[in-house]
Amino acid sequence: MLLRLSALCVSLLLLLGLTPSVWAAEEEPETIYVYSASEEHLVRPLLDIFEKESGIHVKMTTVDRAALDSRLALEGEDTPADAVIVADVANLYPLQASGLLQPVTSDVIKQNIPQMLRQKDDLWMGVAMRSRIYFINKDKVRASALQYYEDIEDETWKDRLLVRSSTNAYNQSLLADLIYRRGEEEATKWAAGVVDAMARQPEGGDRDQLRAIATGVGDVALSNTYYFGQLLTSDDPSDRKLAKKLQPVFVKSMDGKGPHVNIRGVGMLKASDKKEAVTKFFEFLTQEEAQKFFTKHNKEYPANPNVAADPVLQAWGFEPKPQVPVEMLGELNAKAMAIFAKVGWE
Amino acid sequence: MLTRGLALLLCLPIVSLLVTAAGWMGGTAQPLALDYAAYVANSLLLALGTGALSLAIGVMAAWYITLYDFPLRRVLEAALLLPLAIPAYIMALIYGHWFDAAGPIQDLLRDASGLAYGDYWFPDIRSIAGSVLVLSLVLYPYVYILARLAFRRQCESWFEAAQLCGVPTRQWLWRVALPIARPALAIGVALVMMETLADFGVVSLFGVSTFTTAIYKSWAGMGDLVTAARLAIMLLLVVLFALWLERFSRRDWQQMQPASQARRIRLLNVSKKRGWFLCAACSLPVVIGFVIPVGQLLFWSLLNSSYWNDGWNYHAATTSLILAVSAAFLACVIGTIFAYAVRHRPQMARWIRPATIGYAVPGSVVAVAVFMPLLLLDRSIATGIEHLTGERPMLFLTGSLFAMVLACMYRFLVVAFGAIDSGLRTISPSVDDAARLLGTSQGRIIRELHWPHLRGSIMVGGLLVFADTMKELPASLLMRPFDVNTLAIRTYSLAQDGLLVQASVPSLMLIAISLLAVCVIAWQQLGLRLPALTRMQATEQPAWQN
Repeated sequence: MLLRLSALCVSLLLLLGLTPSVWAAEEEPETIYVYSASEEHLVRPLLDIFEKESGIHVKMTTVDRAALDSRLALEGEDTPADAVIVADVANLYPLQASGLLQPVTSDVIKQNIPQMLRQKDDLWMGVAMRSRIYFINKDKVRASALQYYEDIEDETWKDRLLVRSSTNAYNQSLLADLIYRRGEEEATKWAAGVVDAMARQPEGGDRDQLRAIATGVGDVALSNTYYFGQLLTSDDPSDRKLAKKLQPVFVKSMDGKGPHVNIRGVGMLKASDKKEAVTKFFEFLTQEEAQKFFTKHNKEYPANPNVAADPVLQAWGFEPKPQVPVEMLGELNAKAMAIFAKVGWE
Repeated sequence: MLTRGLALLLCLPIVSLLVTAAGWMGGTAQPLALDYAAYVANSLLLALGTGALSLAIGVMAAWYITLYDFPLRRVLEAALLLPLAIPAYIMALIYGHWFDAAGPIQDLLRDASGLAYGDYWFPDIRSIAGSVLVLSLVLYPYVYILARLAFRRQCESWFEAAQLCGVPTRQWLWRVALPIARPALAIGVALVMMETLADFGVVSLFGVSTFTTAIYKSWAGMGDLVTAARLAIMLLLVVLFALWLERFSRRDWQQMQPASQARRIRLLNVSKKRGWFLCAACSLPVVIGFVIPVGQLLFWSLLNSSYWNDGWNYHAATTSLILAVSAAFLACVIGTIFAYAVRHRPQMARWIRPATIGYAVPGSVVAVAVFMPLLLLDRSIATGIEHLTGERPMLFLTGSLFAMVLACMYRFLVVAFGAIDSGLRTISPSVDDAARLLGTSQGRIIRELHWPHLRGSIMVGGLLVFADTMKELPASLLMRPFDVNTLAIRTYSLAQDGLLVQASVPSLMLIAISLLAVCVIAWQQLGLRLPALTRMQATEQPAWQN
């Protein structure tokens, strides 16, 4: 008896497991499907707000940035997804290049998001910004010692810099930025300078580099700004303690223009036929409520210039201004990869 | 027929891997400066190191537990299995944090001594040695289970003979027990080494370049699926070679006498001091491998208890349960079919071996290899339905949990198969013959003769797959459908973003659920139902090893 009962339970569970989540969705009025390369906890709360306001349901799944291209290519026109959210322009550009995206035009978006943060044919756009700059351990380095990205090439920085691996999109986009501004030769010199300045082989993520320099492993680190913001406000008291030892240095490039700026971005897939709903969703992402969420919870800078950055960010006294049309960062990605290979940045 | 069909279906992932590697799925191999020598050297070092350390811990614990009487022996006997419930990547996260230059241990050291970083030497946890340590801590229970069974089965008379020959007690292990237990230990170590070679979480967290990280790097970093598939096949060849070597090395081994005829070993009494020393030695793996990590997670989860109210965690727990139960169920069904096929026609092992190779394949590779054929099937079904009805449906195989269930089942099938096969082997075919001579139908033989004996083995196999699926990460991460979350995915994605405090809640839930499975296994194995244990022992000769 017990056995039969448990067999019944198992088969029920199995049936449940096999019921496609997409079937249930068909009864709902309108649902859009989103592939997100950003972690779920960064996106889900926003989707919930949007659902409540618009009545449009949003279902999401995270797709590893590695898998995103191949999955979309394999799924072709049958892809269930309508839109993608990714953490770096380097992840959007390949989709554009393979012709997987379709333009989303809207006056609301044009009003909210500056030209520089939108692809020129409106195939994708940025919804949040951050900069990638040097961070120093205040006990060991004076902020005035670093004014330009290129300062790191100097002998005095040898064996003092911490940075993550070049397989990471953030590094690729930063180098692409420098290639655009200063040319391949100067950019190669910078990358080689970074390799010389490394205190250890690249390991871990940006947050690990920040924690490490706070402890005294190396003196300076390359990191995205929001990681520092998140450390400052971490649940873990030991993280907050470490963050207090650090200081961001908003360096320029030798061209005299400010630090590298990159985006968290969204794009609509060509295979989708839910233009209206997706447009509404994108519009929502550019408006105050969503923009505030990005800056409050993720410590990113709002892409919408009319929304104020989180007080934690304002305290740094910096306002990001894209110096390069972000599309170029994607276009130059292949060149950046080649330079990384050449200078031996692991 | 059914077996061959199933086996062929289960070979599809390997075929799709080969097809990808040949470049027929599109894409070209990038001329990458991949350091193959380093991958091979690191992977081998890691596998050998983890194998050796797990062997040492597993054998030591099993030997003391089997032979000596010391305080807390009964408790430790079961507790030594606990680290099985902890996923390796969670262990790596915690010890990575502890031993990090910015972590609590070095922090304390600096505060106490007044030294600054760089003034003192401290071992680097993010290294091959660190990975070996972490992986051994979660994998040694495999060796422990099998070693304990093998030692237990050695009858008293062996040791009496050793005593008569003047072999002192402390040499029994080396001169009597280990040689007899060798086949069982070989299997245990083989399992450990396969898991190690397929591990991605620990090595990627610790920055050790191995085959799995190279696969990921060529895929994620360069979008080069072709090279990734080629590397995966190379890894597979290494594993096949190791398995063959292991089999070859004991080609002359004889089956041992069954346990039922043996007299059980009487526990040896030891002095009080030595008793506590043994207790401490056996507690060490449990403390480092379970108590400390769980304690740290509990501490984190209490820092901000509002995370316990997050409904998504409970949602993820439900999905994890459905996934794990489904995968375990499927694996048991297919494992049973395969086990019977081998029983009736031993040459079927040749079909089954390639179908159960999934265990040695890294989860992310399994994901790709299972996903691609499934997607092709899915798309052709969609085209078929479009022809019939004029309406193109959504993809339902890859769009549901089905794909994840399939991938997990594929990866862990050999675990279920091994347990069931070994259970079935303890029922002598002559019993079947006798029953048949008496006019019993095949159905009744299975129902009334096999089932009561096999039940325990199927349960153990199922529970092992259940626990493995609960912990599984890379495959589910790559295949999850919309709005589907598992505890492992949630833990990983939060930890990935450095939110260890927030990640502690789902990881504790995950550990609690797999702990239930481990407890049932422990109870089955150690306590009340000894017959189940003698059945599990025959894992010493699973069919994929023949």
